[in-house]
Amino acid sequence: MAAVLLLSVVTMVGCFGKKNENPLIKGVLGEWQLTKSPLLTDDTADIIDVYVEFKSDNTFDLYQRDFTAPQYKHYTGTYLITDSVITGKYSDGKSWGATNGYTASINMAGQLSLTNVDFTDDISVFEKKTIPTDIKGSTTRSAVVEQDSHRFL
Amino acid sequence: MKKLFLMLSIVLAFSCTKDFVESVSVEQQHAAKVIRLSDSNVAGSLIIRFDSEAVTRVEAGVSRTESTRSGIENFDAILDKVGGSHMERLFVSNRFEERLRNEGMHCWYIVYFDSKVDIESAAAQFASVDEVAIVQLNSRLENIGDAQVSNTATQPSAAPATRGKLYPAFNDPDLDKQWHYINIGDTNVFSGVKKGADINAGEAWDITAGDNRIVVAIIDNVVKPTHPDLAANMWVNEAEKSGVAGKDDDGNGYIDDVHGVNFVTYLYNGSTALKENESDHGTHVGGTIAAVNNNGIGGCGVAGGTGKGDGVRLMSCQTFHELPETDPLYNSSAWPSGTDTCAARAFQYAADNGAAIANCSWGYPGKYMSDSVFTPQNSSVRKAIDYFTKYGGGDVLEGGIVIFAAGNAKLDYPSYPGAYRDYICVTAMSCNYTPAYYTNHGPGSTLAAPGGDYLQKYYTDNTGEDNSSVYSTRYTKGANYGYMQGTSMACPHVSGIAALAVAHSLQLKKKLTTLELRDILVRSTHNIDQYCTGNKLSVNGSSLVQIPLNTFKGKMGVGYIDAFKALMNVEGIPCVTVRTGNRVTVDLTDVIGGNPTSMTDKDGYPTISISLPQADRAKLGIEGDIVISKTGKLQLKCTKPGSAIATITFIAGGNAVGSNEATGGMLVTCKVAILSRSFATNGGWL
Repeated sequence: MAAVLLLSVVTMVGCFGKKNENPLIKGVLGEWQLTKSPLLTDDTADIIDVYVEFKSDNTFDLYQRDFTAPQYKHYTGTYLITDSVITGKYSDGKSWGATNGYTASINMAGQLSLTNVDFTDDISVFEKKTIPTDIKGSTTRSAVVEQDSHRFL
Repeated sequence: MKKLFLMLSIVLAFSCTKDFVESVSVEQQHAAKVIRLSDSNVAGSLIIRFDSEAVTRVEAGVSRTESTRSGIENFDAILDKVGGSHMERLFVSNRFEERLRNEGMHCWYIVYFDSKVDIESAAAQFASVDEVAIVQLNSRLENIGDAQVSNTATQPSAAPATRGKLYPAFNDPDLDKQWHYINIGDTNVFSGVKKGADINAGEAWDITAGDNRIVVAIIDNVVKPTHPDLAANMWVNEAEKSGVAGKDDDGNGYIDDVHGVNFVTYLYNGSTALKENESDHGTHVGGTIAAVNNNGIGGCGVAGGTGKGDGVRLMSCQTFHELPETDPLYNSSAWPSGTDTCAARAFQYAADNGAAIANCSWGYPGKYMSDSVFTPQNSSVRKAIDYFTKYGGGDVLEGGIVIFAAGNAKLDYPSYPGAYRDYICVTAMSCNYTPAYYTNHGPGSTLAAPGGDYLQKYYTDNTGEDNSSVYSTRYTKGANYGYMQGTSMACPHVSGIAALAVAHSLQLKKKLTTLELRDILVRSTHNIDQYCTGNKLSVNGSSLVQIPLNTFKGKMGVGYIDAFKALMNVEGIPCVTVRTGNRVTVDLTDVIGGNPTSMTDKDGYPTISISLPQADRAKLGIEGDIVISKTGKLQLKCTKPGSAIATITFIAGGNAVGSNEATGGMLVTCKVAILSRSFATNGGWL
């Protein structure tokens, strides 16, 4: 616990009256891979694969080995960090599944933890990882390809 | 004294009764040894299975190939009596002799005798020999596509100036006639054609169109190896092709078998050479599976490749060889075309030479209503299929898979062997999703595929054309292509899809098992019952009649097959996403395919069972029951995020699994991942 540095809990105000930027805003930037989730088990560890890139212009790219098709699916959208909570919506207008957002934190090991505000058992832990170019290149765009089947590798 | 007399009388009486009982029992035992799989049997030969101890004695006096007598006194006495000429091993000894013996294949023999001897009498006599375990009449099989073959033989179209409209990536000019692959609703096929009544080949071809490591055995008439649209996709036995003429170069038991074997002539005179004959049924079937794609001529095959040598390979196992009426052997009982002996050897050959899929557009014409006639103890063909299932597959599949046609007799039960519970048995669908008028259906039917229905274009549209039948390669009537209809034509669509599924598994560096492939095919289907309404044209004798389609409802198998869906099912286990905290309803037909009402449980109820361990239920916080409705709707509520693998079990093709009591469907199980989380409604993780 001591190793965990919650950067997001406090909105810091500088000693000299200067408003400091929320460190989470810079902390989430970059490319991440999902490494822990209640859904990732021995049975599904080789199946579920999720990458997300948070960009400085408050947009994101999400690549996931999809449950609707075997290839990776590419989602785009925008996000917003308010205090410790990150919310967002997809380019197709859909809200994130966590409708009230995720509580975000980054620990000393550099892992990004997203905890569903409404279902605190739902914790997704990401680690910094460059998204492989073959994944970026082999995806289908969710806004274009809307499938209702449910399948993954 | 009186007491002693009474006791003796009682003992004597019991003794007589016991002898009588034993006498009846022995006769019954002998009769039970005689197996008849068809009403049409070959004269002058029988298939004998010796018991495993006796066969050692037989082999002591017999070479592994052929001999005149068995060395068993009683048996040879009968041979003398019926004019026995010789006997030979049914399953040919070859480089796999050890496994053949391990499987008991060496116990089966063919005995030949005077064809004028009554076959039933001969069978009864051989059955009386203690060392004989089974006497199987050498049944005639029926090639079940030529009963309703339309006669138009179409010349291939000239090469088009532009790419085809159905699948522009391929330049085969006649692909546009092959609605059964990609049906765009072209009314030239039939005025009532329905877009999408096809196997969805186009989407599948975007992923794979074949793999030349996959060998499909066509157990049928010859597949013409020199056909311009087939030659490049014929299986080649390189050892024989480059070997010494007249020598079994590869030790597989057959001489000069370059593209396969003619088992009919091999039985008759030892020649393995493939021969064109009066029917081009096998060539039509072979073309549906692997006519060369994108080669600028003719039509396409389901797994015919992309024109770069990557089509699946066709092994011609010629078990039918129809003779012209002018041939002296025409209608001769001695001509072994389409017999059990041919079929049994064909399956052995297919296994020993690396075939993964056996297309079987044939069956027994007789009426059998249970699996009891088709046990490996009773049937040499069943024994051979078991061998193929175990040892087939080559390097691409763990075991071989057999695909059978249901039959064209308009019966509400399919033909055996296809009706057997573990085999894929294919019914025929027409170009508007309706069951073909001729198709057999009912318990034991696994799934449907396009088989064509020539009455639609020919009579309903009254054009005298065959466009609503299946277009493929032929060689009769001076043309290389033409239309046929039948479950025989539906069957190779499924074999082709099976080949595509194997090809895709190879792309993914996977090696499927036979059982996995079988279940993938069953789950890769769509509901067909919704189209079983209204009437359609059929024939009754020589009359055209209207038949109600609702009589097919729930009897066509689990649905009509989709090639693309099969490839998706190869990719991985299906997945059900559930939003945590909500009771959700999921349509399982998206996952396991087909007609839910055809998927009946073991008690005969049209339901599907789901198994999820208690620990997983707790992990997901499942509240209440997991319910699957009659129409295949899964309902559950997960209160916690997590994942678990559930097992779904259902019966495909009937109200019960086939058994020795009644013909029935196959038991299918599949894994389904249940993912509980607050996914976005578009499926996104965040």
